[in-house]
Amino acid sequence: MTSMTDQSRVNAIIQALFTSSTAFTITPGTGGGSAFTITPPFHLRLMTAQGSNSSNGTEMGTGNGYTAGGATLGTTFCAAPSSGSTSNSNSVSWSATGTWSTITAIEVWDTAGTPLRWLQGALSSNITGVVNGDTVQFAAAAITANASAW
Amino acid sequence: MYQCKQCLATAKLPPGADPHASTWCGCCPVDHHHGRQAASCPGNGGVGHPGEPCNQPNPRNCPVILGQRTPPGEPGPDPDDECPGGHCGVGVAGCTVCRPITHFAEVGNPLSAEGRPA
Repeated sequence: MTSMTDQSRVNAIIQALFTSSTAFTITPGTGGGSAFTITPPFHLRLMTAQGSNSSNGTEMGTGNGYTAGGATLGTTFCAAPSSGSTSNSNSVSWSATGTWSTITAIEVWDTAGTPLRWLQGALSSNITGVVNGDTVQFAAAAITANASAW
Repeated sequence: MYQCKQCLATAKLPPGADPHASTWCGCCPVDHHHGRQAASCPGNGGVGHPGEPCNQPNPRNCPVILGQRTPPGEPGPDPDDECPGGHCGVGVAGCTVCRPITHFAEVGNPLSAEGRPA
């Protein structure tokens, strides 16, 4: 089989992870590993080089209108999922004050004291040619998290 | 996808295309690179531009340049080439480019986890 997890369970998991507006901790039962905390709000970070599921990408440096750590995705990151897929509820934008490097990917991090990375992926098209005065915007629903293959 | 901040026209350009090089919106009918022209201008609000001619084609008639926010530069030797307003220098501190645009980004599927075969 190419898929793994029951769709309803996937929907429940990603809804808990990405639609909660307050921090919460998941504490497994005996033998289930360590507890972990999800700390909204989530931040969108822009990458000049994509990482992988096991390594972080290279984030664009602070300057020219971008601040390392990214920008908030709002109180609630995503809307309730459907068919294992969910997308951002709010738009995110930056006003460039200088020339940007090419952006190839994004990552979504929470805002814990030591932030945790939750999502990473490539852009459909690189962001290139950004200069002073331009705006870079991710509209609502521009970022889709698709867990249907879990 | 891109949107001109001045006329609000939108366009989807092929990958790798420089959005500032295209005349896909109605702000300028002349096919020249706004960013490159602006960056080559020796003036910046008139500073360092004493008596040097404007190198922007037909600046008097250029609707984009006429909308610039920087103060007028000095006139060139030819009255027809008088600079109607300072050119924006791409990359110059405090500058706003001729035709700022909005870059609309989209992301595919951030989650790349794959199911394991049974």
